[in-house]
Amino acid sequence: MILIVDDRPENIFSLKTLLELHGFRTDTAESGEEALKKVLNQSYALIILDVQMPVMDGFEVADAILGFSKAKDTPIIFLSAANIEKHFITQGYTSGGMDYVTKPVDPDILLFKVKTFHKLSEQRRELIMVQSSLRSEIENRKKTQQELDSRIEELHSVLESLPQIAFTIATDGEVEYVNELWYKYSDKLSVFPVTHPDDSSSTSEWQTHFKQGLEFIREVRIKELATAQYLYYLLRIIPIKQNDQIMKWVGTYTDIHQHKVVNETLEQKVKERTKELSTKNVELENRNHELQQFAWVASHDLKEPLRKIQTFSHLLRDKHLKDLPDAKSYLDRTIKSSERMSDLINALLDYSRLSVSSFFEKTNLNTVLNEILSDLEVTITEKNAIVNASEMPVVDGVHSQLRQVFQNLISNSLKFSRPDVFPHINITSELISEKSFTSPVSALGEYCRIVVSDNGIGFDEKYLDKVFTIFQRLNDRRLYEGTGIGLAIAKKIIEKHNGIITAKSKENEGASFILVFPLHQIVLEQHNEI
Amino acid sequence: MNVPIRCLIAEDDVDDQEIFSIAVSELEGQYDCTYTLNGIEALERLTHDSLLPHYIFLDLNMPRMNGIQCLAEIKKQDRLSQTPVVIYSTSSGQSFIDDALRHGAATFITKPSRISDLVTILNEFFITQINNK
Repeated sequence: MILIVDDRPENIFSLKTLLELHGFRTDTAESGEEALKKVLNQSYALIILDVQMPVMDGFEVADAILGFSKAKDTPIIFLSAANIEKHFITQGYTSGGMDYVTKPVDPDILLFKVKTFHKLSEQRRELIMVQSSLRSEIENRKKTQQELDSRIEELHSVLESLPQIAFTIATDGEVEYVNELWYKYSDKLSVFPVTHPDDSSSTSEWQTHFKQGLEFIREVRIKELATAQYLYYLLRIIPIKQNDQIMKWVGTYTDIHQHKVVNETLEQKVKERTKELSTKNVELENRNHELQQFAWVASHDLKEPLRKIQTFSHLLRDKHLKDLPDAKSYLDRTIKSSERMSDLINALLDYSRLSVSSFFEKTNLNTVLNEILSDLEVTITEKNAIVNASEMPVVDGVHSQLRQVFQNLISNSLKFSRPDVFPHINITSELISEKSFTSPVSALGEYCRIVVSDNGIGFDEKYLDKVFTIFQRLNDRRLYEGTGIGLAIAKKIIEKHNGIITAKSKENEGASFILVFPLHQIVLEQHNEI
Repeated sequence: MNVPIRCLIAEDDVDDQEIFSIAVSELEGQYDCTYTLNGIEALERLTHDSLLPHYIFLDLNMPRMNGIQCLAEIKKQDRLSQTPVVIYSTSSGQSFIDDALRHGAATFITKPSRISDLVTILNEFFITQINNK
C-alpha cells in the first residue's frame, strides 16, 4: 500500500491513477494531519509526500512520522514544485526522506522510483519478518538452554546433597560431573576411584553395560584416598533417557561397608557356630549311641544272671520243696519278683532297640492285629474277654514296632480290667484328612485314626501326660502288673511313624487310646535318635 | 535207638552247662554230651576227635571265639557241613537270630528261664531233626 499525501485533489488523482495502473494499491490523504492519522493506523510500503501543504508542510509530516516507531522506517518520496533549491532538498533527506522529486513529475521516473522503493520496502519487510522470527527462535533457544541449565543445576544440587558418591557420565563415556564425595576417592573428575584388584572385572563389565545401554549394579571395593583402605560400595549407574534416547548416565556409589563387614562377621560367626554345633552334634550322637549301647548291654547282661536265678528257683521249687510249704511260698515270691524283673529288663531292651534305625514298609495292620490276638489267646480266654476289631488299613510302617504298639495297648486293656466286669475291647479305624485327633472323616484322607477302647478301670485324665512317660505307673502294683514302659514305647513308636497318640478316660469306666498317623511315609528310613 | 546221640556243647558258663545237662537227662533216649568252655576248644575237638558229634550247640557269647565265629569255622569244614549246629543264647534279638541263620545255623534257641521249657524246646528240635532225615 502506498500513501499519497497532497493538498490538491487533482495531483492526488493523477498519481493515484498512474500507480494503480501499474498494479500498486494506494491510499490518499489531503493534509499532513490526515496523513499522520493514517500512518498511525496502518503501515505503508511507501509514502509520497507533497512538500507544500497548508497548516503542516511535508517536512513537518516527515519529522512526525520519524517519531512513530512503527512508521519510522517507511521510505518517503518528497514531491515539490517550488522548493527545488539545494537546502530544501537537503532538508528533505534529513527529514527521513528517501528521495526528492521535483515537479513537474515525469511519470516514468516516478514510477521507477516508486517501484524501487516499493521493492526495497517489501524486502525490508521480509527482512524484518525473518529477523523477528530469528529473534523469537533465539529467545526460544535461550529459554530452553536456561531450563536445561536449571535442570542440570537442580540435578547437580540433588547429587551434591546425596550421602552417596554421585557422578554423571556423558554419552561419550566421559565423566562430566561429580559431587564433593567423589574427591575422597579420586583426585580427578575424569578418573574413577581405584577398585580392589579382586573387583577389577567391574570396569569391563561396566563397559559392556554402557555399550548395551543397560543399568549397571555391582558391589565393589574402592580405595579411600586418606586411609588407603578399600571400602565396600554398591556401584549403580543408570541411563537417563529422553524419547528413548540415552541423554546421560547417573551413577552412585552407596556405602555398604558397615553392612558388609557386619554381614561378614555374622557369616563368620554363623560358620563358627555351625561348626561348633556339628561337633557338639557328633558328640551328642556318640553319647546317645553309647547310652543306647549301655542300656542294651546292661539289660542283656542283667538277663543272664536273672535267668539263672529263675531257672534254679524253679528247679528248687519243683524238685525239692514239695514237702516244705513255707519254703515253697517264699520261693514263689522270689520267682514272682524275678519274673517282674525279667519283664522290666525286656521292656528296657525293647525301648533301647527303638533307637536302631529301621525302614518303613507296607504293613497290613489286620495281619498285625491277628498275630497279637493269637499270641494273647490264652489270656483272652482266661479273662473271658471280647475283642472286636474293624477293618484296618495298610500303612507304611515298621511291622515289629506297630505290633508292639497294639500288643502293649491290648495287653493293658486286658490287664487293667475291672475285677467284676469281663473285658470288652473295641478297635476301630477310619481315614481322616488331617493329622489331628479331631479331624473329620475323609474317604480319601492321608491319615488313619485308630482307637483302642476298653471298659476297664480307666484313669483320671489329669494324669494324661504321665501315662506316656517311662516308668510312670498309675496303678497299685499289687493289683495290676506292669512295667510302666509299655505306653512310653507305644508313644515313641507312633512318633517315629510321624504320628500322635493320646488317651481319653474316666476312672472305672474305661479308657480309649487314640492313634493318628500317616498312611504313607515320605522318608522311608526312620530317624534313629531316641 | 541203641547208639546214643552225641552232642557237643560249647558253653563258657558252667551253670548253663549243668542246666543243659539236666534238661537233656529228662529227654527220652540216650544222649552223650561233651562240653567245652569256648569255641576254640570246640573246634580243636571237632578237628581231632575221631568220633564226630551228631549235633553241635554253640553259646553266642563266649570269650576268645564267639558262637557265630565258631559256626563259620565249622561250616568251612567239609566233614562237618552236614552236622546241625544250634546257636544257643540268652538273647532273643532278631538281629542275632538272623545272623545265626545266615551263617547256616539249624536253629536259634533262646535260653528259657525254666528247665521244663528247655526240655520242651530240645525235644521239639530233635523230633524235627529226625523227621527231616
